[in-house]
Amino acid sequence: MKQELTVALVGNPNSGKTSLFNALTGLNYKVSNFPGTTVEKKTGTTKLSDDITAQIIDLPGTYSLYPKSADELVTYELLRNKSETNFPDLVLFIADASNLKRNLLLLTQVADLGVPVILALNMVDLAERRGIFYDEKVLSEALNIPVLSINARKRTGVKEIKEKLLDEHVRNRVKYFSLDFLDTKFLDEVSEFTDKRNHYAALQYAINAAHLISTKSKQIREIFDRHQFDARAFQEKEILERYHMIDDAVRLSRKQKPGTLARTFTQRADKILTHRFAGIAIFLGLLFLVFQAIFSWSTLPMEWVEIGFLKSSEWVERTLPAGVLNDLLVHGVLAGLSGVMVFLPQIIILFAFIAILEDVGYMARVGFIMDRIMRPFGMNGKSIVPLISGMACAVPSIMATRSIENKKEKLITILVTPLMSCSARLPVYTLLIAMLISEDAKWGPFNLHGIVLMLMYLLGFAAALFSAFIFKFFIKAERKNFFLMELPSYKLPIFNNLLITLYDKGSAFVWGAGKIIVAVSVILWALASFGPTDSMKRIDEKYMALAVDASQPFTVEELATQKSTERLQASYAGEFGRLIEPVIKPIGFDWKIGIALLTSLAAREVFVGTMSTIYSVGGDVSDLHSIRTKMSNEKDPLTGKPIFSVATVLSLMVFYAFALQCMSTVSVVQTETKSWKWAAVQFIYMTVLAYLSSLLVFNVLS
Amino acid sequence: MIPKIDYFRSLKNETAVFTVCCMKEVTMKLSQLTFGQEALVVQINDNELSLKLLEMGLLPGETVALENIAPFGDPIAIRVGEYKMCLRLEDANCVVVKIK
Repeated sequence: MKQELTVALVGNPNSGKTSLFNALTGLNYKVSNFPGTTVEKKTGTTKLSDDITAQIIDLPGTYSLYPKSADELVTYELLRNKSETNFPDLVLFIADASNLKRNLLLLTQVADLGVPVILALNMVDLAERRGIFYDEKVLSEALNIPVLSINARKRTGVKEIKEKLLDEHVRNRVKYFSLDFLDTKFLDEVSEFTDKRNHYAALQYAINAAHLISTKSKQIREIFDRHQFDARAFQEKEILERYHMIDDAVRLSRKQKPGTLARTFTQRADKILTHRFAGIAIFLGLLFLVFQAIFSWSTLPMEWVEIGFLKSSEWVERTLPAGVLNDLLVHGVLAGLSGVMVFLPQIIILFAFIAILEDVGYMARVGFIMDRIMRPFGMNGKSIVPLISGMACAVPSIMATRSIENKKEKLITILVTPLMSCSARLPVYTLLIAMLISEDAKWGPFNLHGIVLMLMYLLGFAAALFSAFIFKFFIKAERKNFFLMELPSYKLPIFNNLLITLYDKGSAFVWGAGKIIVAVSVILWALASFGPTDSMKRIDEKYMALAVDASQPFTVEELATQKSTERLQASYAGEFGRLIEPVIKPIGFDWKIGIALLTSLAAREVFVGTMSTIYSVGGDVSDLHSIRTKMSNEKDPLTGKPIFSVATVLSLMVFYAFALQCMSTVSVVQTETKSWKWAAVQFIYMTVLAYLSSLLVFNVLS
Repeated sequence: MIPKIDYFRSLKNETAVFTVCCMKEVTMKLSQLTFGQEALVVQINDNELSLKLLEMGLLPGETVALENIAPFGDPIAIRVGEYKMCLRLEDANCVVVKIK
């Protein structure tokens, strides 16, 4: 008979939980979210025997069961509710042997909820190097649960764990913390609200619910008042008594070899890595390396992606009969897909770095080093990584904010990261700066072009800090910001964990952001290809006639270019440009720029391509020189003055620096915050900021 | 080192009297520890913070020591029992310790 066992994997952060999960399930897992939360839920399966499989649920690493964050809430909710379908048959608790006391606090709380627990003692080797030895048998007797030593990194002890999971005799429920000192009448009253079988679970539920605003919690508070129950004092007593009991168990089973407690590698490394000067220098060096890698190592694979899509577009174009379907596939779907996939190399590189640094234990130090600087802006030390990598691409950077525990600080980081100048703005800036100053202009020994470009990067950074500072006052904090964080011992990264992380992040991006980007891209394609039937028909007829007219001076290519220009101008996108012209006129843009604003919503660099279509630059889109010349010659039909005056060009640059012209970002923010609200807030505030700044720039200069 | 009067107020009476009489066991804030000094946690003067710190193993009587100070002077990293954690100075100010 086939049987399935549900096992919850529980433990503190940094206890090696992920390694054990990977060792148990390999690639047999799926990622989803805990219902109603943004907390990632990994569920994997592993075969225990011929007819019994175990479903392993990886719960987020937490320190206790009194939920203070969404992560802790998930663990608590799953273990509290016995009627839940996912309620585990048993808990596999993983603990760091080099820091056993603190790890066991959560174990005793979990066990008291009435779930059988098996303790996997991890990092025994690390403890032994510090001269700490545990006797499994004694510990097992003291805690009254099965105890197994494992090494999750080297994958030893996994077989023994599977055997132990099968062993039904060891599934005893234990109780560590007695509630006898409380009035039974009080406990019965509290239990009315939830679990009548387990007083501890019921009381814990009541304490957690008492903070909420509902009729239930009002009743709970009344009961607390009536019995003069002080929840905080109770929790304090609970923690202290648990530690007392843990102390005894640990002391009994622990042997310390004297003299081996020398300065550890971690202590020595931290002296350098968090040093006032060396620490900052190393951090900046690493940052530089990451930034360089995202920029330069990704060039080649990004080219492969582009060439791959170009080839497949060409193939589709040739193979399918010409027509709407052909056009849709090439310029809508494939163009959209390529817009998504082209970021994949950057995402993989950024996450490879972050995953390695996280695995090694350095990321916690980054937070430690930078916290003081980021704090006045409502962020914390960990925000620096997303911000800096935002200079490559905001999409992976926003995904990287997951390591920020505090909700408010994480949200502010997400909201301001897209203001950092990303690589998609580069082609836009290059084109526009070239319209302002000649390429070999110098300021002293420096290339003026480069200086203006750098100023644009600084402008983005300043705007990000400024906006963060403003948001700090508007976003409510759910609780006081504590920056209590374990600084784990340094470890070597595990290659296998790295691969799995990259696979997770890559597929999350492609499936998450990809769907929306392709959809938006198809819509934009439709807007740019279709227009009111009569005018489109007239253009088609005109060029039909020209094609057979031997006396006209243009080549076939030139005619095709002119035709696409006229079609774009007559399309719905063109209509849209004319529609918004009154709005963008005050910031110096005409309706043709309006078209580019619309089409570059798919990605900012599309601006250049659209400009070249509008101004009939045939052939190679990357031929900036001819686009620039055509744009510079463009005159206002009414005044006769050039459209692209200094004021307009600078206004455009500022607009592209601040506006959220990137649907990939909008979509990833929606995925990451699980709310359209914040995606909308971000889009609106950045657009308003861009508009007002452009308005200021244009009016001051013209 | 002469402790300022304001942390006496927050302490239990006996400790304060004992400290004044003998001047051997000096209490101070966790944020005032210097490198290499080992200290014992006496109490935590912030309700919201104290539960969190207790959970993290910062119990009265537990040994703590200052291990690192961040480059900009804040936060600090301390050893608590067998592991290392960091906290901001404003939070470290709420933790009263006495030199071992």
